Amino acid sequence: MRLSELKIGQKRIVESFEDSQMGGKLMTMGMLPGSLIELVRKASAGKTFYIKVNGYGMALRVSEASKIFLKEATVN
Amino acid sequence: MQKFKVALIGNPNCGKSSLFNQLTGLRQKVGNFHGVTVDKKSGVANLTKDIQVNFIDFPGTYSFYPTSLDERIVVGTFARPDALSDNWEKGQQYDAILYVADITQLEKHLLLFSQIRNLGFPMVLALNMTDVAQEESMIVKPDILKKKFGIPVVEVSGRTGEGIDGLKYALENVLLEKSKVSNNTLTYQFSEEEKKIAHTIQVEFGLESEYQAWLWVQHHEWLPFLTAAQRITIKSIVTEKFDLLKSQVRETMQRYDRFGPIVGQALKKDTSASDTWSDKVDRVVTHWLMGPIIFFGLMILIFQAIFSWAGLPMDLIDAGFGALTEGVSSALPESMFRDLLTDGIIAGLGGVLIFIPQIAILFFLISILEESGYMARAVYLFDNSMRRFGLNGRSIVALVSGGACAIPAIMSTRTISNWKERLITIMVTPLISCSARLPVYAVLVGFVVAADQYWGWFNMQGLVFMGLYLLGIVAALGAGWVFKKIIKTEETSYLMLELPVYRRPLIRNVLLNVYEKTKTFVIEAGKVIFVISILLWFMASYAPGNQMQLAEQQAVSEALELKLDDTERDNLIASKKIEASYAGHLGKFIEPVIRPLGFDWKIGIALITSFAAREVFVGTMATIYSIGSEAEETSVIDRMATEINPDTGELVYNRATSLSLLIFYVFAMQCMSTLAVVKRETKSWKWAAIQFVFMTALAYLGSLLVYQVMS
Repeated sequence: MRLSELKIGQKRIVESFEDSQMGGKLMTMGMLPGSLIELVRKASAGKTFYIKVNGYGMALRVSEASKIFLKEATVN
Repeated sequence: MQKFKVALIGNPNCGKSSLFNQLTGLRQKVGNFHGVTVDKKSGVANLTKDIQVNFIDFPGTYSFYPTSLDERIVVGTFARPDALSDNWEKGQQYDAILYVADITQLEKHLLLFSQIRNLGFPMVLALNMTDVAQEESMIVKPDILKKKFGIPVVEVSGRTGEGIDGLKYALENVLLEKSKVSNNTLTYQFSEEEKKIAHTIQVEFGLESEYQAWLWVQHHEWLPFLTAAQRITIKSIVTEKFDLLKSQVRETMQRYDRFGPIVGQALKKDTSASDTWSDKVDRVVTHWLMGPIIFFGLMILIFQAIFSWAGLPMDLIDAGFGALTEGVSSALPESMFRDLLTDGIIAGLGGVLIFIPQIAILFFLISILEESGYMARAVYLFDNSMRRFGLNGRSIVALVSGGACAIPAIMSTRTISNWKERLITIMVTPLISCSARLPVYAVLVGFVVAADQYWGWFNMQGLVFMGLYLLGIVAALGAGWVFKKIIKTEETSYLMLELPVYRRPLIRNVLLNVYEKTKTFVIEAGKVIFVISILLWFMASYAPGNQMQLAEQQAVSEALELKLDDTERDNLIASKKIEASYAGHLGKFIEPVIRPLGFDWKIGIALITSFAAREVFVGTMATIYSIGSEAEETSVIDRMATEINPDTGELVYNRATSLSLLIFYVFAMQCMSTLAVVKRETKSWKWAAIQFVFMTALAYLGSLLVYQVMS
């Protein structure tokens, strides 16, 4: 699933990035394949996301979130 | 005494500025990085009484793969083959790097560290925010990091100052080459193809390491020190089909894989605490409905604070300059030089310094919001709405600062990585009513509505004031929307913003920031206002041919006829003189153009002088209406209220003209200093010229509409 489809309070693991330029930037900010993502809340009628990446706060646009693929957070 | 130069580097929000302020205190200055207009803060500290270090504070950077102008500085500096040698322009080379990492998010702060370490520079790693780590009962084993990274590692707190001595000692040892910097443990393992390219470049240009060559490959398009020939050579070696982006991702992944386990060994933290107090605050502050309400509430509080706190110091400055003018006038014999000094130079300086209280208070409050981490939340809340107007969430910082002064506001746009969004922010910020418009509004608002008029609960003058501010905001957003449609770009825009944990602002950081911003304003705006004041003084004091003498003679005989007393006579002379002066001629020259707006040539003079700086308006009015330049604001208002149009016999400052003039001041680009800063930030006069033209056109059309409808 894509990060943009995540529901508030849900947690998932980053699988991959659709856009490698954006992915590169996110990786330098600490979001890597394998990072734990939680959607905390949304603003601007769902256009802006407040997420936690391994517990640290980050703001994303929905367009950015839609380029991040997530997988089920099963085993630690 | 031995002198060294040390670069201070770290990620955004790593607490680097606190540490920098802790180390250097007031011994700081702001300059520019070589060839770019990114602020370079440097400060001096003594490690021992024999060792002095000049610390250079680099902009917060995530990695060697920059996404904004600010971020380019680090790789642009350290990819230089001579970054550490004496050959690079005297005094430019660095002796060591002090890398600052937030211990509570060590892993992601080590990416840039590992890249710099790869270049083999002498380094010290400072694990900052130990105070927070203790609160969160983290267990830190710096020895493990020391051993694995092969450099000194020190725990420190920029907030409390704990560990500073240990840091200085470690740095001293590195600088004096007492502690050995062992071989690199964080070298990037190239893929076969990458290695071939890196090696070829390294040999071709005789570079220190393959990794340095690799940085040349990655950034050959823009690295400022490369020659055109070098760029061509690199392009011929790195073929089009090679995917630079992919190898950038490969490098990042590999680095995290390498230092991740090391961090795991060195740090033990309790991850069970999920809902911190910072999260609780955010539940309200970043709420989709409460958030914006709190933001606007804060803005109203800020502006309220500015007006109630700045009044007294401004009066004091005003009185001080009044006394200075009087002192100089009585101390020196009457001469051209004395007039230049009192009416030109002192008046010009006073015009700049009077704004210090307002600007200092605004920056005090804004830096508290920034330091605490609140500004990042405002960006989160408003990014989407801003985008509709061609702006970026980060523009909110500039727009708010624009309420004090457009100059520092425009300088704050450097964090916007998308050029189009940054440009639009720069273009529209001066439409936000700055503190220089206030005195003009204060004089004119009384002519639009009386002070005791109420609309329900609200004082009408207060409402007009608010309306003028809102008009500025609406104009800024509207102009942004138009620019968005006009300017084309292929560049992608990003938000991707860290929302750091709230921290109590450090008063030392806040005060140093206020000091620095205010100083920038005084110097940047001061230079221009100073020169223009002298020019205006000349234009108002001199006339073509002997017209000055004629005007004076005429005034003297008129005064005799009317049996005026001495003060009245002098005021009449001053008024006749300005009419005859170059400024008066210019005012009359433009009168036909501004007549449809309801302005006469006297207002024309004030408009012209206001193009230097808006606040000159009140002083110019005082001179034109011959009430002496030391007049109080109230006496200017009283005099303007009785001014009658000789042709129609009606009051000049009727509601239509006054409102039209107010609208003109809301929109017009009447600030030379801002234009100068726009030119500097956009690197061309083109955008400054466009800004000047569009704002003036907006002002003209706005005033025209208001006057024609109302009269």
